[in-house]
Amino acid sequence: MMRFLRYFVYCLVLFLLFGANSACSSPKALVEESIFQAGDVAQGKKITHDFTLKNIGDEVLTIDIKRC
Amino acid sequence: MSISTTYRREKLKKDIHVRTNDPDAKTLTLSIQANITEDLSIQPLSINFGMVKQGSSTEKEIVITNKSKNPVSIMDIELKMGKMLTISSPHKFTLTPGQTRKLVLTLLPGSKVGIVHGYVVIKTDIEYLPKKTIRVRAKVVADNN
Repeated sequence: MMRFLRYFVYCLVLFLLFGANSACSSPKALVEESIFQAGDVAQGKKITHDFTLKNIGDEVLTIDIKRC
Repeated sequence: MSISTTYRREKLKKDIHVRTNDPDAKTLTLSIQANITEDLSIQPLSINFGMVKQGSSTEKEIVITNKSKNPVSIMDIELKMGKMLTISSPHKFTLTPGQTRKLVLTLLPGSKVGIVHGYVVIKTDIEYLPKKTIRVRAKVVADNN
């Protein structure tokens, strides 16, 4: 019984160290503001806005921008 | 993200889609929305004279309105359709706020039949809107009389 318990604890420690970590690690994209309302803009004026994209995960976040 | 509004009117919505490797957000949509106001209104922005007999002339009206709070000067009006177009106005004038001016555009096609197209380019002193373009089209047909 003790031998089984020791084996179980060993496996649990291994899971917490590596298994659980790899299951949770991933990139996590966060956009604080995804819609920008520019309001009234005179025709001809250029609208420029910086969107901020943060990676709050623990893996590298890759992005690919597609214009529509 | 930048958007030109030169050829936009009224409601504007521009989206970009961002694909990511975030398993919970594989595609993010970023959007810019605006209401485009016209400081200088030109109507219409496209003129089709339709079928015009060779050698005959046809007229269409263009209405220019200064909708801004400041005077707007028309610096030049360029007619880009060979020598087939003329306009009933000096090519340089100023519109006070709210003022409207009507121009008559005349098409006098030559002897060549077929579809002809060109542009009327109205140049302004508005820094962010140096020109507005009107597309012009006609079909010149043979005069069999």
